[in-house]
Amino acid sequence: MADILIVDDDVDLTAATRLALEGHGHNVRVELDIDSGKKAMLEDTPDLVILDVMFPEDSAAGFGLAREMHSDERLSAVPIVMLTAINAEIPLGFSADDIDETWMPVKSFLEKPVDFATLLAKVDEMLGGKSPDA
Amino acid sequence: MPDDIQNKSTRYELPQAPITGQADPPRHSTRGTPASEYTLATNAVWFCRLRWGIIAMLAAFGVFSLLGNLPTGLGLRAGAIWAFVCAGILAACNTVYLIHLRRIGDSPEPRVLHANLWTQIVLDLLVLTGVVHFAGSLETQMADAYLFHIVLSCIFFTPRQSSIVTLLACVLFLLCVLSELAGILPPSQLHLDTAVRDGIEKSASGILIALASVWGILIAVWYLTSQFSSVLRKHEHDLAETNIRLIAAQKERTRHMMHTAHELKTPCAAIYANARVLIDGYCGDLPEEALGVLRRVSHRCLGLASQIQDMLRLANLRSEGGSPVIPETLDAAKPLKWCIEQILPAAGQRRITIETDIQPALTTCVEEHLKMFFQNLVSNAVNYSHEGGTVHVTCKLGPDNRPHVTVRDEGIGIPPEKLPHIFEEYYRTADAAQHNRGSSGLGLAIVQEIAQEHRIGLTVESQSGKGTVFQAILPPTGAINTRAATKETYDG
Repeated sequence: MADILIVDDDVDLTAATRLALEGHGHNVRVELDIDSGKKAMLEDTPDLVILDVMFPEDSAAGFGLAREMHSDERLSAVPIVMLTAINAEIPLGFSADDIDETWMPVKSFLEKPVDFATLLAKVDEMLGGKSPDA
Repeated sequence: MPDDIQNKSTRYELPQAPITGQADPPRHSTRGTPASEYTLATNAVWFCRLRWGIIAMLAAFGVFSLLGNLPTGLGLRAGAIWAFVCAGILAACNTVYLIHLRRIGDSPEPRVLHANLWTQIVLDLLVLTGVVHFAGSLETQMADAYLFHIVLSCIFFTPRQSSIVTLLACVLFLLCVLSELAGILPPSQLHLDTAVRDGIEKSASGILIALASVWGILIAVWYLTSQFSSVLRKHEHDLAETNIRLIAAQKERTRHMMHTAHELKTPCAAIYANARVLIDGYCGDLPEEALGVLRRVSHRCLGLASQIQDMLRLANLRSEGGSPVIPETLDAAKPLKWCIEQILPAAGQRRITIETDIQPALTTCVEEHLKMFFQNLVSNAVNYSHEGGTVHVTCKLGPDNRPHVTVRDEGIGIPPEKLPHIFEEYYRTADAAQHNRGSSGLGLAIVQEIAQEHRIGLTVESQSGKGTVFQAILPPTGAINTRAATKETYDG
């Protein structure tokens, strides 16, 4: 069983994602804003973070949190799966090619809407030995 | 292409967009103000290089004047030592200017740069006055050489500053003539025959006419050039302001587009995720009828997300200023293979085989645009193929040194009369709409936009019921598209 933290402001999406991940044996926590997400991961370090990019207060807050995690030795080893609705076709958007240890220190990038099969496969891949099926 | 398609198919070639020139980046200058410090620094060096040419000409004339009877045979005075002296003074000064300019660099203090330039101009005018005197101030056209400095000062300085240069030239010329007439400077001229000079000096009106004609030319040229230069600077200033406004508008459009994408796709993602939770049984088993309803909901939801994506792509491609990316030299095979990998799962679901013969072929293009371009062509070929069919994709370097890419299907084909319309937004033939209900109707409009932006030659041949072939001839390496903009990176 892995401890997964979802930081995303969309209540409906996170509810469904939580059901799918819990259905595969993971322990899931959901935080709907950046500050709560940061607090939650510092209180109890998750095995993996699923992170949105755009939040109401800041359209690039997810990037900021990813960079903060990367520079914090308590969180720098936690893999991040970026899950967002904006992509490379939109000017100033981004894609999986942009994943970079310093600029965007995330392990994977998935575009909404995403299939659970794709998401679960990615989560298992990121978790490695901590997969509930392992 | 199979023979039966080739024999009966209809061919349509996508017209190319006219080439639109890209304006040079405007300099930040305006009416009544000088050109930028960078421009002045660059031109100060250019003045020095030009001066070496003048020095060489003076030295060459000095050497010529020493060639025995040759100058005198042409009616010119021999032994023009003054030419060597003037060349020497200019060469020494020029060396000092260049050393100074090198020390102050490309972004010098404005005060220091102006001091360098004004020193160049004033010393040039002094040396030129010496040349005018030795060549013959009244009987030759040498005084017209002052025009070089006047014109250049009009281009690079304010009208007030260029008027000072003009006034200085006029005063130096007057002093030269008066000094000669008063006997302070010994008479000197190039010609052996002194009749012209004597003729002018015999009457006061001759001297006045000679002086007035030189002054008139200098002042008239200053006035016209400074006026013209001011108008040009005003246009430059307007262009610079327009450019700033365009950049601001582009940023606002980008921000708006990003938020639109997020706001439109986020609800889709939530609906899709919740439908999938139910379909995948995370909330228990559901009756088959309910599952059917949910599958339709999730399918339409994906279609809507895809349509939003296509609308945003098209809007982005069509927006003024183009895409914020710069064309790069890349192997066309790479994005083509990437697209095929993305489409393979969907093709597999319908038992469609994608046969490829993809060879490396360099092009200069925007990789992200090529991906969109190929993705639409290959996914169309898959979508409009019959179940169990085959799609053929080839890429090779043509004899014109441009990558030739073909995407051929054996699907439903396109009726001849419909071919010219397939690149229109939301246009779908009745058969196409029936065959692929999930299409946004924007895929080929995106293809057209990219083809026109990058001047990709695109032809389509098709025969109803037999299949379609798209052939794209990509730009050669080194080609620059017409609407490329500067690359930006997301700064968070």
